[in-house]
Amino acid sequence: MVPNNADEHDPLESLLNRRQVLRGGAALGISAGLASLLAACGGTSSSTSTGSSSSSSSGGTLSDQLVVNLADEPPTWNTLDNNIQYLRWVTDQVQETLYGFDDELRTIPILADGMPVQNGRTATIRIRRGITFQNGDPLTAEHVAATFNAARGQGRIWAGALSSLVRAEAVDDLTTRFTFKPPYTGLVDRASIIPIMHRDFLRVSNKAMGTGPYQWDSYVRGSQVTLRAWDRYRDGAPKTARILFQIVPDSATQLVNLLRGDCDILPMPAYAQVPSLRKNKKVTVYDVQAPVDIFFWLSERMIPDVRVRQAIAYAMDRRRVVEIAYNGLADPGEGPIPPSADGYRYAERLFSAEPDYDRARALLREAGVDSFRFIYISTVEPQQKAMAQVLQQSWAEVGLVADLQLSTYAAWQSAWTTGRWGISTLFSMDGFSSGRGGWSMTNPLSSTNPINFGRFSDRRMDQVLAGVNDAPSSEARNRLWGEASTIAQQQVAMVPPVYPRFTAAVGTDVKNLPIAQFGVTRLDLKNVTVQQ
Amino acid sequence: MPEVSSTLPTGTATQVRADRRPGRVRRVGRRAVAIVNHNRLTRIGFLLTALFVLIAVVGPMILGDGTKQDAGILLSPSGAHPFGTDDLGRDLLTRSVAGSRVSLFVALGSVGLGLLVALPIGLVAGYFGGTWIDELLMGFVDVILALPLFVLGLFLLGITGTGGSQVGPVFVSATLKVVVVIAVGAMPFFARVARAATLNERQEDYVNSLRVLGVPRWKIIFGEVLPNVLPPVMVQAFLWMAIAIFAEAALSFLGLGIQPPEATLGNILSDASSYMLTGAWWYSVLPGAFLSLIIVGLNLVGDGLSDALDPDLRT
Repeated sequence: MVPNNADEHDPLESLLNRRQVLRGGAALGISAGLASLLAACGGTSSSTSTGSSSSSSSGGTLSDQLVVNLADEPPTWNTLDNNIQYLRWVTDQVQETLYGFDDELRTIPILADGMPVQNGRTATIRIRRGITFQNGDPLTAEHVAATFNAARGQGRIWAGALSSLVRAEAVDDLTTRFTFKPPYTGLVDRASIIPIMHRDFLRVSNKAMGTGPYQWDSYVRGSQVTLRAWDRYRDGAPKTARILFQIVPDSATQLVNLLRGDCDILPMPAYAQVPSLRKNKKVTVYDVQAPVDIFFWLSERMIPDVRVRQAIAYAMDRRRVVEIAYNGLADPGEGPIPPSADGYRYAERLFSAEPDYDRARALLREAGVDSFRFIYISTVEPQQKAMAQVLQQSWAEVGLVADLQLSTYAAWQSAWTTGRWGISTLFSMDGFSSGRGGWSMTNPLSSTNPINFGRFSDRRMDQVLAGVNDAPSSEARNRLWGEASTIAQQQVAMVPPVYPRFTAAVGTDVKNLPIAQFGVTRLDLKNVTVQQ
Repeated sequence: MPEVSSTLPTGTATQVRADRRPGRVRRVGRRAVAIVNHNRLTRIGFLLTALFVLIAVVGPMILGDGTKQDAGILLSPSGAHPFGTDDLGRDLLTRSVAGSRVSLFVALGSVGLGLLVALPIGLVAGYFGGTWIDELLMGFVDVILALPLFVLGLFLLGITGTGGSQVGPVFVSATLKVVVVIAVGAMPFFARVARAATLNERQEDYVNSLRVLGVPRWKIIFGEVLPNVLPPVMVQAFLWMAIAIFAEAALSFLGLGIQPPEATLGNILSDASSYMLTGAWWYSVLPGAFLSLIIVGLNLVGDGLSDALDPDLRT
């Protein structure tokens, strides 16, 4: 007998509800199954995608709106507190940096009026005259100095990158002087990625304001950000009146939006979807070598024998990772610095795309190891998950057993900081933290770096990295990064299996999009138009 | 009171029970058989559930664990691969079958563990209904009930990580963690049903008689009341098996469940989501249909049992 107590739910009511729900759910499930089957069958065919006002090519007029889909939104809109791509793809239309990149990805002045004048421990940068913020205030050296002083403050995302900076100060309205602890040649790199903010906005986190071509209009958390063209932009108002950034986490929905013409630009679509996107005539897919990095640390603490680490590196099936996890949109990896970054120079290529099982077995025999088990932690993006499983199978060929622990970023981070892993890997877009420099891939390999949780320690590496900051020229610095990268490759401290490419799916009605900027993972939308 | 007990002939308590239990069990049994025989939906439910158990137990022995990447990638269904293959070149039928074994383990494990904790709490709270013991125990249950299962899952798995963990000398596998999370989520529901049934039972003559006879409380609760409380709790348990399977699938879909390459239906669907609109329809549709049938089957059985135990609830 079912109890019928006054302080419990009425079982009859709950049963009826649940039963109705069950029947309804079954019917819904069948319908949904059929619907998804039909949708799936139609998804590959370009002829089934319907055009809309923004992607139709029937007319010659320009649309007043550009729609960009983003897979996520940042926790803040303050560019001194975060530099994730979902933040910067939006704020880069609103704020500008002192330096930027031309179509050859050479550094060029943007807000600066020429390159810095370096003098030992100090450097001065002069800004262009007549630039104003969107609130009407003129851009002065005070704002530049305030931005850099705030950026190096405790808790700010740039604090580590600017640890050598003692202070920035305005010498006059247009000139800012930077003083460093040791002589420092990385200023241009940093000034190419840190946006200049108005000094009253240094702590504002719910919107952005700057000197860029678009103004902040509105933000609906979890849904969208709208920017509107700033008609007093120094090079003239952008031709497209609005940019709508829609936050669409589900990759299938992004794909539908793009195919229906409800989205014009989709940066970094899921790698799995690129082949089918390529079949669609209304979409162009670009893939560019860029600092889209896989941090792939091997822990010296948990795998102390370098021969075992080398065996792990030799037994990786990089070709399958490229083909399966990245659908061909990656290049086989060698060491930490990718081909798109300064300092990509290895003394020799050690690892081929195909796994060298014989070499791996020989190394394990030499180390006196028949079988070796380690923990592999990673975030759970589809390509990371596929890569982990491909590698796990190839390692199993030589007796290396990887226990996979794939999780959300937060859980990965907490596992990473414990240092109790053999391999830790993270997918990251470093164009906004390093520009073209090799900073973020090599710095964590210094034995004194606080995020060196794998406790890699190599005296030569420490010497090389110490020299990077005060290298007399960019050429000398690139050479040092190359050396650091070679050490990491030989010692197998960081050996990403592949170098992923930056990808973007763009409607064919979108014009004037500077593709070269993808090479530093950036979207430059100021001249972009959409034909109606 | 002890004197009364000592003067009564032995077997009186059994006599009191005999008056109530066997007749009830027979009635319930007859009703259950009648429902199974006459309700088409319940018959289908039993059939689906039996098929699921058979596949889960026997299937992996024949087909393997589905972790080998030895076929072409994303092959559509064919004679060699009736469910097609996935993005890593693994046979999806083999993975779905292997996944159903994990689902069965999670369903039985989480419901079993939930019952193990919930039944004593519900029985004791119900027996002492209205006292501070009842309030304390149900207060604890209400606190857990206030946390949605997925928030609880995110919290527990977020802290401990998604892989296996060493807890002292014991290694807790990722699967076991998922079982524990779902068991914690199910426990309040079982405890509330057990308490409500016990509140009802403690008013019955046989309980009063046993009290008068001086039978220890723990014997009355676990020896006499428990068997009478079990039927409604078992209905809940059956329904929760379906929820547990669904919850495991959902946790795996979020990357918080069982770790790859171990196949679970949730993991398969999670991987398939990237390919839903790329033409590889078999990747999500076939394992998804498999999962739906299991859940529908368990729900129909739960419904049938519920009807068998209380004809007033038939609709």
